[in-house]
Amino acid sequence: MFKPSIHLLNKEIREKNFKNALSLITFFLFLPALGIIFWLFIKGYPALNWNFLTQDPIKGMTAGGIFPTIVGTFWLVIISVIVSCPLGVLAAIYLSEYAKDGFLTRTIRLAILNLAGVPSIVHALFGLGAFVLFMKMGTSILAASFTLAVMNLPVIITSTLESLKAVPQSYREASWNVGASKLQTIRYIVLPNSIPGILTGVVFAVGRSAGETAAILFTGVAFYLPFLPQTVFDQCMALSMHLFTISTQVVGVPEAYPYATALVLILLILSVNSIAVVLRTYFRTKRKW
Amino acid sequence: MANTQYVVNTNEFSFWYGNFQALKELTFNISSYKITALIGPSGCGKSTYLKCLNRINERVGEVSHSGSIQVFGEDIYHTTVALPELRKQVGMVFQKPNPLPLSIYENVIFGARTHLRKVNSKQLDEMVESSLKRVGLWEDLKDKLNKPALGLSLEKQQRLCIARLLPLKPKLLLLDEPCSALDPAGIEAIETLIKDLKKDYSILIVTHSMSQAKRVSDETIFMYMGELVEMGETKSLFENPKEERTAAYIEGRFG
Ligand SMILES: Nc1ncnc2c1ncn2[C@@H]1O[C@H](COP(=O)(O)OP(=O)(O)OP(=O)(O)O)[C@@H](O)[C@H]1O
Ligand SMILES: [Mg+2]
Repeated sequence: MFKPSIHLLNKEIREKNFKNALSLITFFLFLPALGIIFWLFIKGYPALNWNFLTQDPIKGMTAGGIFPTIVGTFWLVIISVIVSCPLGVLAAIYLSEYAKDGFLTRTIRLAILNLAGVPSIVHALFGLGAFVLFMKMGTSILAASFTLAVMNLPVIITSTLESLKAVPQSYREASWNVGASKLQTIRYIVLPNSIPGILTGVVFAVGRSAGETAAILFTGVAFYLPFLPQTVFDQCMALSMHLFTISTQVVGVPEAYPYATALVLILLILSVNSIAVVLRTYFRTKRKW
Repeated sequence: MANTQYVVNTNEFSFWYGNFQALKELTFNISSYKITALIGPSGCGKSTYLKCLNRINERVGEVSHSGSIQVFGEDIYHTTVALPELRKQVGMVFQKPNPLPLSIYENVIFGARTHLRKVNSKQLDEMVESSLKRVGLWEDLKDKLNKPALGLSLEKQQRLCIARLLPLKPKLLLLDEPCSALDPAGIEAIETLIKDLKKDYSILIVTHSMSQAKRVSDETIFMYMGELVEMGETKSLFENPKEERTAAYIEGRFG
C-alpha cells in the first residue's frame, strides 16, 4: 500500500539528479577560484620570500621587493573605509529609518543603485576634477582615498539598506512602544541586528578598494616612488597599480614577480575577508537569540 | 483636574489615514481600574483607536485627527506631549507576541533602561523579579533569564510582553487581541492574568471573541465602521443591547 509508484520513483530520481547537477555546478564555480590561487602560488613561488615583502623595488623595478606598494595599498584602503563607512551607514540609516517614502527618496535610492554600476574610470575622472583639482588636494593619498570612498559609498549604502530592511518592523514597534526614542531604537535594536549585513558590505568595499586600479590612477598613485609616503598629501604606490606596471610596462622583470605580487594582493584581500567572517560569527553568537 | 473615575476621555475624536477616515467622532469615557472590551467587525477601527491612545500610528505616514483624547485629564495630542513619556504611561500589547531579540532579562528592563538615566544592577534585578512575578513567569524563568526571549512559547512571550511594560509603571494597558495567537490553555492563562492585573491597572482590550469579552470585561464598547454604536456595562450590553446593530453583531449575524 505504501510502495512507491513508478511516478514517484521517477520523481525521486529527478530530484536526485537535480541536486547532483547543482553541486557539480557549485564545484566548478569554486574550482577557478582555487585554481587561480594555486597557479599564482606555483608561478610566484620563486620570488616569494621575506625580502620580497619588506624591501623597496630596485633596478627599475626589476629586482627588490614590493614593500612600498603594500604600505600604499594599506593607506588607501584604511582611509577610504574610514571615510566611506560612517557616511554610507549614516546615509542608509537616514534613508531607511527617517526619510518618508516619497518621490524624492525613491529617486535617491535609484540614483544610488545606478551609481554602484558606474565604471571606476569614471570615478577616477570625478576624483581628479573634484578632489585633486577643485579641492586642491593634488595627486595624493587623500585624493585617491576619497575617490575610492566615493566609489564604495553606493555599495555600502545599498548593502546597509538591505540589512536594515531585514530587521522586522515589529522589533521597532515593540521598542517605540515602551517609549524608546527613534535613536535609541536604532542604537539598541536595529543596528545590533544588522551589523553582520553591514560588515559584509564593508568587506566588499575593502576588497574593491584594494584591487582597484583605475580610480587611483589619476588621483594619487604613482608608478614608482623612491620614498615612502610621509603624509596623506604625498603620493604613494599601490599593489594593484604595481602589478599592472611590472606586468606590462617594464622590461626585464623576472617572471615570478608579477605572480608573487598578485598572490600578495589576493591573500591580503582574503585575510580581510576572513577577519570579517570571524567578526560576523562573533556578532551572531554574541546576540542572545 | 484629573477625573479619577475615568482614565480616558475621548471627545469627538476623528482620525484619518490620508483621506480615509478610520474613526468618526468618537465620544466615550473609559473607567479606571476596570477592564473595557472593544469589539466590532474587522476593519472597524479598533486597533486604530488603540494606537491613537499612545500615538504609535503616527509613524505610518500621513495621518491627521480632530477632537481630543485625554488620559488622566491630559490632552495627549497637545503640542507639549513627549511621545516617549506618553508611551511609557500607556503600554501596548500586540496581537502577535513581539518580544525584542534580546534575552528575557533585557526584554523586561528594555523600557526602563531607555527612560532612566542611572539605574544600578540591583534595581534592575528587582524590576525583573517583580515584573516576572506579576505575570507569573518568575518561577519558570528565574534560572533562564539570559536565554533568548524568542525561544519561549507564544503564551510566555505574550506574558513577557506584558511584563516588560510593568517597570514603566503604566497607567493604562492596551491589549490588541492579546490571545488570538494562543491555544485554549494559553488563552485561559492570559485571561486570568488580565483579570488579576485589573487591581493595579486600567485595561482596554480588543477582542474578536464575544465569549472572551463576556468573561473578562466590566464594560464593553461596540464599534462599527469607525463609529461608536453602543457602550455599556458588559452584562447589560450583551443581554439587552439597545441598538439593533449591536444585537446583530453579538448574535453573530455579521462581522
Ligand atoms: N496604516 C494604515 N493606512 C491606511 N489605512 C489603514 C491603516 N491601518 C488601518 N487602516 C484602515 O483603517 C481601518 C481600520 O483598521 P483597524 O486596523 O483599526 O481595524 P480593526 O478594527 O483593528 O480590524 P481587525 O479586527 O481586523 O484588527 C481599516 O479599514 C483599515 O484598512
Ligand atoms: Mg486590529
